[in-house]
Amino acid sequence: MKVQPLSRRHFLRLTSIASTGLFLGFGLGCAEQAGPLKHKPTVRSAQLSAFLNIDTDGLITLIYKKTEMGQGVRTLAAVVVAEELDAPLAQIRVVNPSPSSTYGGMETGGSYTAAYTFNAVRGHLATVRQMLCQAAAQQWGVALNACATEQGRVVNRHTGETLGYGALAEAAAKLTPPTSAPTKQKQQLRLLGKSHPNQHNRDMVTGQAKYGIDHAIDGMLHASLVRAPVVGGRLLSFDDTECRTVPGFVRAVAIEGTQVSDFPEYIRSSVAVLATNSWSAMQAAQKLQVEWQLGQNQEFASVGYMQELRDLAQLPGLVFREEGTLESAMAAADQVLNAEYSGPFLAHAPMEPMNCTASLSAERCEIWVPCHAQNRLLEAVKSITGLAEDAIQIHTTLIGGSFGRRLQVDYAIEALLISSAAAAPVKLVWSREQDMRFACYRSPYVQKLSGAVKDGRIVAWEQRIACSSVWKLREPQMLENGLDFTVFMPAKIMAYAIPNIRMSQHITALPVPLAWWRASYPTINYTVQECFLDELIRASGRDPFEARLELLADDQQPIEVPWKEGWGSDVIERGRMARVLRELKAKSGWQDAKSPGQGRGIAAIVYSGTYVAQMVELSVRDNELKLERVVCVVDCGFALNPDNVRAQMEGGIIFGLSAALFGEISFAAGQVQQSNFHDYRILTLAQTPAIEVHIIESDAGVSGVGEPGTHPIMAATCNAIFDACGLRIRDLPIATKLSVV
Amino acid sequence: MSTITFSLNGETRRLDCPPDMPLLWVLRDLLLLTGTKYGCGIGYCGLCTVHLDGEPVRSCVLPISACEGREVRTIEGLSADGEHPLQQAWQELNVPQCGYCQSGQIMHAAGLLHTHAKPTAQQIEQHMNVLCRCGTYPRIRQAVALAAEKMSESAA
Repeated sequence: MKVQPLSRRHFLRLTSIASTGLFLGFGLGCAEQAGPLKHKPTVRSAQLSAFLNIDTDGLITLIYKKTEMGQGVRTLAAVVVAEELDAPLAQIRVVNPSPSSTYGGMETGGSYTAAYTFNAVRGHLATVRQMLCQAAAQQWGVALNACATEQGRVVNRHTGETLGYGALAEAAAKLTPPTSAPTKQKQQLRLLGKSHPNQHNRDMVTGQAKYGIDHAIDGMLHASLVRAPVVGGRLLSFDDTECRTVPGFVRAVAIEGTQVSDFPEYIRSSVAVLATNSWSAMQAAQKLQVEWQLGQNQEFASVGYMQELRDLAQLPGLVFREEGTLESAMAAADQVLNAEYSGPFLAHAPMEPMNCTASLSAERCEIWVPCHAQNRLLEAVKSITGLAEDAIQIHTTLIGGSFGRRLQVDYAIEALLISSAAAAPVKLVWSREQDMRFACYRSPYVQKLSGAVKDGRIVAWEQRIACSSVWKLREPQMLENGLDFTVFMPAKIMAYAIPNIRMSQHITALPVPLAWWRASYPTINYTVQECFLDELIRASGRDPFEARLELLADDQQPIEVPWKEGWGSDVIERGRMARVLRELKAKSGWQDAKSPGQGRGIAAIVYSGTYVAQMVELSVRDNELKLERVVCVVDCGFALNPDNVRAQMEGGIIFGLSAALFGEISFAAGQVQQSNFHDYRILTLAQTPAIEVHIIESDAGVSGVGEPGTHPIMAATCNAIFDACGLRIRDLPIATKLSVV
Repeated sequence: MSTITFSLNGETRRLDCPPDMPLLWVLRDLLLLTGTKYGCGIGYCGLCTVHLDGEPVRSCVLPISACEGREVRTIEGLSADGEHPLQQAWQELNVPQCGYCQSGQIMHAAGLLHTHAKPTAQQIEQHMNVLCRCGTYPRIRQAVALAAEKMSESAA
């Protein structure tokens, strides 16, 4: 990672805004991921800024542009600061800035934050540490190499004298930043690589943690929105007479809304019901009489849409990977299998419903929001209000789960529009029913697979993907030759050495808001591939481990698979994939005797440098499915906080199991049919299998763990069901065929 | 509107509000005690669990009128110092991820330990039905068992 020198200009500007203590600022051009997340972090240049404030009393504040939402990054950032600056953890605070051009892209996702924090942030910290040493060296009149750092102080190696960072910060801030400052070598690290509990735990177990939904400001009204039930529907009229019977009701105001194709967000035509508390707002909203023009999407039904995808998948699509000669390999094979796979719309359904508090005046806008695409929100606020960046303050609150949902900022724009229409500060809280019905969803899909086996080896593979595209709907300029690479890349990077391959894609644009979902298109593609691979392996009488390992045997060279022009590439190392599989076989009891009705299945994936293999053990008896045990092996290079890696694997597995077993959002007459957790079920504690996570270290740098735990689990589960009872699950969710106990 | 008097975390509270307003929203919006969370509004997910006369209840479907003269305890009042054995166990096992459901999980678990000082693994599974979307269930299982151990040690 190349770290550019700090600019003097940034120092001056930032020093002037620091109210207490001193600012060591950096605004560095730095390689980092930007945009909607789906590419390697090491290749695309974007502006990065982070700031470090050291108070005169030694308190260190990292102003960090990545957002905590349960994945442990705030704790990781604090540990990285403690590590690289040699400072006590108790002296470190990590805060999010309000997004601005000073900070560059502020967006968290794609499992890239650990690598970003380890590489980019640590690079800045190394520079700061050197400046602190330089300031001390000047004060003592010694050479720089006479200075060491420990416990938040610079130590004079000759005399043993020490100076605290707080005492040095002012002098350090006046220095010209060094042109290079090396980060610590791996063998020098004393905190990273060891487990650290989340720093927010105590607040969370005592009820003191404040989420977006907990925010309150003076004079605010509570809002509940009554939205057009069908996408594209328009408000004709409303009558709030009945609302007035609800104590606390204040008034109702119309919100115009936008077109579904509008970027960055679709805002439904709606009526905001305002009250003095959330419950009154929700009660009054139920009493509002509204007349809608439902519009052209009132016939939309997922049954019809799935048929459309099924029809598309019968035809070859736009080809994105072609190797060998598919047709002749199929013709010469011993066995050819064909199969069709499908999966429905999925909701994110984080436990904290969407909410936002907004206060807008002619001169100023202030927003408190659980959101991790702050930049996207800033741009939207600028364009809606016409305010300049420095008149917009966006406070990132703690986030009660997201799983991709809060990369969309529709709910924050709604709060802003309501505040504008009501001419008052407003807190908008979505009810759970609204969260299910008016969300943005993961795309459904149909895939058609054909494969051929000759002499016990898989020799040909054809895969046709049909699904809807987030980009085709709202950012069509991101498509290349009609292809959406976020859809196809996870399929294209299939690691197995199959000599004859053709993969193609059909994408459609839907009248339904779509969003990224914890591992959206990767999970679709990995699930289909790992299930169909299992079909071919089982049909040819091979062992699922051995047959996979054979297809990964050629591991001489890492394989580079380019993304779209300018977006870098993914790298596949078959040897690492084979290693997680071998480790899984050793750790999982794969060959142990099975009881009647018991089955085991496996799946393995590579995602952005992280390799995960999982085995599911379950039983199917009398049509009842019981998950018993999951064993997970992960290689994420250098595991920075191993216990957090385990937690992310556990969480990713359970999130994927919820979707595989129960997840289904369906539309009829243009409206979502599910409404709450009773009909959009998620896994319960009693249904959760025992989960073992094994981390294997490699020298491959740092890669993410937020999504890769989710990737293999759906396929491993379906493969285990086949092993248990011979039922091949090709259409999710599983609960439509088996009851889950 | 009616006047309701009840005990909240050991203190007597008296307030005027609609009698059908759920306890959850009284706590959150009228008393600004936000540790109790809104999750589903239909008593299904359990995030809003508080104790009513020592029993776990789902406050999103409990009208405030039902609390008249009774004792309500929320996560803020579970322990004086944040060191209830459940709160300790939760931190030791690094249970929370996003943390949003954990008030409800802990209050619900406290109800179990009140009636079963040494719950079996099966009793923990059957009782702990509060939803978590981050997937902290494996650690919750362990943490409830650990808290029970801590309680029996301190009682011994």
